[in-house]
Amino acid sequence: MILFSSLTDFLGVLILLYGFVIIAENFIHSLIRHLQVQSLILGFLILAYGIYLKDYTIIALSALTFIFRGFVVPEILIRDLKKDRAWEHRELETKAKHTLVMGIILALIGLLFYRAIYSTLQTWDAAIPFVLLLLGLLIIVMRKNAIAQISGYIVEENALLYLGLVLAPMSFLLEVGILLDIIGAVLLAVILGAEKEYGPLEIEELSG
Amino acid sequence: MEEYLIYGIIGAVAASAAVSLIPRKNVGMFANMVGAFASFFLSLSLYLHGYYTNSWFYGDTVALSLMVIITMTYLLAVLHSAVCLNDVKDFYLSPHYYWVLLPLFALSMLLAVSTPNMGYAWFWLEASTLISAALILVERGKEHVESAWRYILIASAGLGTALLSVILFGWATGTFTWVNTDVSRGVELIGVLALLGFGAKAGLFPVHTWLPDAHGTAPSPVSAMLSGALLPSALVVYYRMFTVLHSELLFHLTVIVGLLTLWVAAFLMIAQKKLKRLLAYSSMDVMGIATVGIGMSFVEPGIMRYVLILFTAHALGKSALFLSAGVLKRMGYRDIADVKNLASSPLTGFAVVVGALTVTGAPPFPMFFGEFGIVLSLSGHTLAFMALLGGILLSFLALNYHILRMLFDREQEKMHIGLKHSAVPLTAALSAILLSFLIYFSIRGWLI
Repeated sequence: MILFSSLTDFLGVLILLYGFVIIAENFIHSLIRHLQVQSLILGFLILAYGIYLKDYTIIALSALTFIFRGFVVPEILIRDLKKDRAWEHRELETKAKHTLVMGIILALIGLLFYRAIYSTLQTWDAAIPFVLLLLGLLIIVMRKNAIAQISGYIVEENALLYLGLVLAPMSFLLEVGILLDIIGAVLLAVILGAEKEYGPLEIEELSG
Repeated sequence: MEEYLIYGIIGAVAASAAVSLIPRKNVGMFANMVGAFASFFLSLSLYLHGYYTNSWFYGDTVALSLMVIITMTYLLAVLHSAVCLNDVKDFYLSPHYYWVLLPLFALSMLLAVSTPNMGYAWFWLEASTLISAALILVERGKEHVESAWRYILIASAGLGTALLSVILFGWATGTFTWVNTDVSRGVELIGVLALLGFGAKAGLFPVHTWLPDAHGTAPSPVSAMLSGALLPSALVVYYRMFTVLHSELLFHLTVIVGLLTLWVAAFLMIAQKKLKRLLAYSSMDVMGIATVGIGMSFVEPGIMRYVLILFTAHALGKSALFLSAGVLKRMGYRDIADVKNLASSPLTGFAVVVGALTVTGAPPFPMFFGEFGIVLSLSGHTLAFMALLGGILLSFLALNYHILRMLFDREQEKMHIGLKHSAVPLTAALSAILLSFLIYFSIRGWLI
């Protein structure tokens, strides 16, 4: 039990730290690699829960995370980016430094807010995914490049799976994971298709 | 018997999608027509049979009404698509995918509103986001890609918040079934997250920003389904959560969010220049009124019947308007200011007038009865009563001001829109009038 909680705490902290690394990254190549590492760590975390709870659906979810988020999504993105030399450089317009400062402030506010939630949940286990969720949303809102935004979405997905795992290991978690991965794949297909046709997609603002 | 009807509805819609996979001209269209007619009449029949529930299906009046609304909007969308899809010049996705995605969109909503499991309701709503985003991409153009991108990103981020509320719901109750369930801990937290999350999908303020873009660029039958069926479906899933949580704080918050949505939408409507964006904001204002109704169901559960009238009338009225707007867009009229002398085209003009009067709650059109019931329920709360009434009046003036200008500004030569393009909007408008009669003859019993 102590080994399990130490391991999950360690992996959780790593996932959160990678959230900050993703926020601060200007280069799209490196951003995708960081995302890949974060997803792989999440895969190990899910696997640890699956083995500890002896739940085969959770173990299947970890396999799905390794394959899809840890391998398929990053490799497709990297392969696509290699075709276009524009991506060897920084994101066309970036707010990474501002986003990092905002991220640190948001994480602190999130932790303060979580203190209020703690009286309800009676567990600190959900604090890390809760802060990670806020960071994911921040990336979506602050970054303009579509690929940077999808990284925010995947960070948010990772946080939600993590939360589901910690709070209520549920019967439909595997289905949720599959659906979220399909959405990731569709987003990816949209970006890749659109960028081939119209060049790098830089969304000015999300309000339209 | 009821079980067979349910299998029939779901089977008809699913079979339409499966048959449409055959990439031959007109196969998808005919499959969808058969599926849409069958599912609509079967859902109407199920509604008349009344309450039915089993382990995977929960069919109370709310769910059954929503099923009728979804299949009805789907039917109108299919009929109009059969005409207007030929007008699309440049496809981004192959047209036969359109016929596959349209029934899948209807199916995801049917399953979302009828499941007794909150987790699966979330699952199907999220699936509907994915499918409808693909439908926005049917036509080629950068604006379509950007709109689909914004929609899927904002709606999915919102539904992420909703998933968090569902996870907490499971944590608090030990089950994801909302039927006969009590929540004793974390009620406010779950409720606020659900309002924010499902509210994003229903176009509620302040998470409504995807709505005008998606409605504005989607093919008009898809806009009609997004507006008439998807927004109410998301609100109904929230209503399920709201009923189980039964929190006074959430009651106040829901009414406030509803009123804010109504007012913000009404102000945005005044300044609109694009026709489909105007209609999108009009949908937002109706969802605001419905949200107030859902909030008031905390005090008076019977108020939901007025919310259901609102949804039904809105689906018909907004179908008439969006489908007409789609025809105008194909003729090159995107801006409201460009559309003049629409009254010279009597069939489309009639559909637009009836549609506008219906969605703004003018008597004797059906939405009036729904709005009347909701406004009346607030009579004990003077401030909220005035705010709701004021918002309704403002949105009435905002939409009808633009519509009147489009109809009777005679600076332009006569506008000719043929019967083929007017037929489905006209059918929706006539159905709205028929619904007024049905409500008029049945509502007396409710008021006593």
